[in-house]
Amino acid sequence: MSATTSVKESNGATPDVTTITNCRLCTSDAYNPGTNYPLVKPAAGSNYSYWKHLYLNADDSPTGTINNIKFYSDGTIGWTGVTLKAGVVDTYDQATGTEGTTGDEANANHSGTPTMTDVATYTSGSPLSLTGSIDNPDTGKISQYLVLQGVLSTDAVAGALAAETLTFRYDET
Amino acid sequence: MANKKVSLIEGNANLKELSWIAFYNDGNKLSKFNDDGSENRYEDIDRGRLVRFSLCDNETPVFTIHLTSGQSLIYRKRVWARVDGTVWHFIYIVGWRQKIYNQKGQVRELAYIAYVNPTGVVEISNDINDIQLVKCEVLK
Repeated sequence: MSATTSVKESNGATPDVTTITNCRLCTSDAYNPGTNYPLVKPAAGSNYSYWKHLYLNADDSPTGTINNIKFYSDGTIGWTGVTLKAGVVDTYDQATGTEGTTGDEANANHSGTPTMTDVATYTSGSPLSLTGSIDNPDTGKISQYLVLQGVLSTDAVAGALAAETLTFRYDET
Repeated sequence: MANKKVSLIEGNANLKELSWIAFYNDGNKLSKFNDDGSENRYEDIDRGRLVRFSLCDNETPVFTIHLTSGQSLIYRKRVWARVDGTVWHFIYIVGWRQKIYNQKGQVRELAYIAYVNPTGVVEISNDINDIQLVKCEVLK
């Protein structure tokens, strides 16, 4: 049988780990606070969401191996004034910022100094690679952490942003 | 053969899972699933005796490759999942790779990789860099 996988989000100091059903950018180190802690349009310059840590997890063991993990978008993030950026890190570092206002920028403040790149540039033909693999009989975290962060400009508009589709791809033997 | 980028972007997770059967040179075979429902691993295939490998819909082969001496089998299932964990597509990758030595002892590597979509579409590539080899696939 094929392994059951999920995508997990890590938050907090410990960290706490949640299986993602709704990945929501916000201005708090929280998994999904609903409409609390919305992103805030800057008066000038940029504001940020708190960065998020995501990873691919094996909920049960593959028969053989899971490897070759990729991440990508459909090439378009249709959020006016908001750029979704992603990078990879090996080690978790709790998100920081001013709660309710802005997160700290990930590259400058995350201990792993992730190179944050516009997610729209990662497509099926040019995905982001995440290192990591898992072999039978192990379960648990497979990939590096994917760091996600929204960057808001003064062009941002009020209201809920449409959901965007992001994809993880992996190989399993 | 030119490299070919895989274009299987649009997907459908309501696809039928395929099994596999490894056929040996002595007439025996190893199926992914035994009659009692237990499962054999791809890594359990005896590559020294392997002459044919089939993807199967139940017991019916739907895609088969024949292997000659020196060709190392490649097989895996490629899975696409949303961030919410929903699997929205998968395909099967079957092929082989082989090292070829010339008279000066120089080596080059050949590969044949088929991307088998359970809908019936098959794409062929020789781009070995699209996969990460597992231990049993590493050529000596």
